[in-house]
Amino acid sequence: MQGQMVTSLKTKRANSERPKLWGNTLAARKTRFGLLFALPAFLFFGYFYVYPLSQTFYVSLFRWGLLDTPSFIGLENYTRLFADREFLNSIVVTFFYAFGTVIPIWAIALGLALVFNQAFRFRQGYLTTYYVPAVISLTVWSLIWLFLYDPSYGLFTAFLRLIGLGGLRMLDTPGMALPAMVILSVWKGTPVYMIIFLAGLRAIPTDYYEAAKVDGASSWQRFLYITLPMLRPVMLYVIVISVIEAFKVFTPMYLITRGGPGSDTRVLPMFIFQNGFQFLKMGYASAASVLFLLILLALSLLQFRLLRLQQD
Amino acid sequence: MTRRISTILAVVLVAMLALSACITPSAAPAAPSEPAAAGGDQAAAPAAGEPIELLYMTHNHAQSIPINEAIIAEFEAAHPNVKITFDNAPHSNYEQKVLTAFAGGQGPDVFWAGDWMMPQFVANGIVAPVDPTAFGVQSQEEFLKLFPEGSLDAFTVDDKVYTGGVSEYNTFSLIYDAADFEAAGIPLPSKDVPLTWEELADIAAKLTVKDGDTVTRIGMEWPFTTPIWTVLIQEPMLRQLGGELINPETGKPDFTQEAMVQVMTYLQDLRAKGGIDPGLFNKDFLGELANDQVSIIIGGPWAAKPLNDLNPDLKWDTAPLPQFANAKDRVTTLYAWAWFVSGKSSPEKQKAAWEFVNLLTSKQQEWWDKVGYVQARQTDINGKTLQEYYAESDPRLATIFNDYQFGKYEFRSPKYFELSDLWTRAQERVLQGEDVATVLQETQAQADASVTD
Repeated sequence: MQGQMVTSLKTKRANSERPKLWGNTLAARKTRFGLLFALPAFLFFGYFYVYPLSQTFYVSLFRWGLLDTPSFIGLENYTRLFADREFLNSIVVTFFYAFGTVIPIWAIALGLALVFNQAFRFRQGYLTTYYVPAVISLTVWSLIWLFLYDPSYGLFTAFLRLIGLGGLRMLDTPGMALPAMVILSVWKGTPVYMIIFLAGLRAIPTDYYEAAKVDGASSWQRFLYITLPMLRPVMLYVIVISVIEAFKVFTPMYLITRGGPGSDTRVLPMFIFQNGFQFLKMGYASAASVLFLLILLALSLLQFRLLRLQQD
Repeated sequence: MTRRISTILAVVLVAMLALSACITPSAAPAAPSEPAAAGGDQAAAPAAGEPIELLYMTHNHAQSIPINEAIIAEFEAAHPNVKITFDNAPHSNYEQKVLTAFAGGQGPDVFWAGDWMMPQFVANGIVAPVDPTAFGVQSQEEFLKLFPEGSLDAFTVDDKVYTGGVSEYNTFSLIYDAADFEAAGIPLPSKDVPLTWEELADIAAKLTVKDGDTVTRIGMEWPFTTPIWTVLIQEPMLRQLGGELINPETGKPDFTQEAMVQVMTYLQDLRAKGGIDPGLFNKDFLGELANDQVSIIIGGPWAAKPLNDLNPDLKWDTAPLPQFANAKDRVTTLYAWAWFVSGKSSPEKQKAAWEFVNLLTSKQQEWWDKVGYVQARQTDINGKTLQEYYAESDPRLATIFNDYQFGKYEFRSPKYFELSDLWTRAQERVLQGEDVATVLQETQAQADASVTD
């Protein structure tokens, strides 16, 4: 059925009259008018995204201490980065954090969306309550968790005591600071993606489920063969956006751990910030930013590729 | 159609890339701001008598803002052609704000900065040498006589003084809650003879109070995450043992020296005994002392006013900065924030700026009474010297003032921020129980890479 819909859309698109850009026809005038409206967005994107991006690459070819005279060093910043243990560590930490955060978010957000897609009493009230973490600013959220993790009075610590893990201190037990950051980020990130999944679920025609029920499909089969395939575009969006967002994390680390203890929570954005604005190694930080961008691009392309393969 | 739109989008992107190659902001490498040899060129020099606009930037210590505003108003009233814009930023990223402002060609004309910034400032022409005539004297020698001998050494490079005065002149001593000592049956520390760090570890452990698993009061607060504070406290400890972070012979940082090993081992023991705890409180150390969550802090004379404001009933007192039992010298810390004038500002702006700094530094009584900042510029207040006036205002501070004479300024390095960050992270790892020697060797490798950059 889905294949038929796609074919129909393609045919419709092929048959539709293609508006011209040039000439004095109404269609051409409309197109030009539309582009005129889009022009501010192009200019904004160009000046605030493309221009800084090209500048970042340009600066990455220099040794530049922000205040001194820059000297051109070609790709030396890049070669030094690959030998810098702190940089390599920050990549590992970022990957652990990002995937440690997004995988639970996908599962929990989809689970909650499935729950909230059902009709039950006070559904809107619960939905609003579950959405609250999403509307709290990340700064405030981080400071709240700083107190929750307090080893003496923190609510989270009290919970750990309750389950017999009283000695576990999230922020300064070796190896626990990163999971602590993951927990607060999962809690914060889940509601947004839950709403996106919910919107996706509501867009699936109920006819499909009814037809499947008539054919004797179980709930699990309906989920597997109707919900998941129909949610694929939404899932692609959630996966790409959540991974990029997770890789860009900075605020909780900056406010709670400052990248510590040691370098346990020093994610790549923090490495870049510190090198650029605290150590004044702007060229070095720019090179790290370029590599960071390449990592994100590679990940996004990989995600698109995997999902396309799955679709095919 | 789609192809045409794609073409247009591609053309816009290429145009933007071309634009980025052609237009280079003042902060970008293609057009770096050159150090000003004399004066500078950040703004066109206004003719005499023409309006002058100054940008004055400080950190946002709450008590300092009203007095800064009052002095600005007084200066503007006396100089109708001068308009001063006052900008202040949080302590935690103040230095980054100043540096990025200069990098972007928007640097302040007058600003506060810490002494540790001097190597970068001077090397890049950020700060201007003092104009003694603005202070009513004719030469730098006469200007220096306005200050106690040596007090501006940290701001002097190649015999040129780069400040108009110290906005806060500090050392560190112990500040403690005497009631906690009495309750724990611990004798109050001497005001003349410093405790040893070893004695302090035992005392801090005894002052820690637990309710089951919950620590309700920690014996001592320690700065665990702020790199500048790591230096200000650990460097005197290192020096007491005869060490220096920057080896005087090689000019390179030395994290593996024996003195550093001893300092780090001491910190590990201090935590193991329960005297300090990186996870506890550590959010507002003055508030925590005032609210009985902490018994001992390390602080300067500036702590007196906020402590009295936070808890007028607090029985706080002071003791000298501890020394190691096997210390070779008695050493404390010394650090200062000072008023600078931008070397990038026009000569007319610099002249007005130095006159403004003269007014700022001549308000010693206000800076002490309202903010608690110790000034260096000498004066008589009601027939008393500045030091006598300070000591009289609160006798408990006499101990802190006595510690100044043993103070040494922090190490000087263009890599100050990177090295202090490495030091702090080494401390964090050691406090987590990692092997001291391993941590210091790895830190040394990172420091070597940093200084060879």
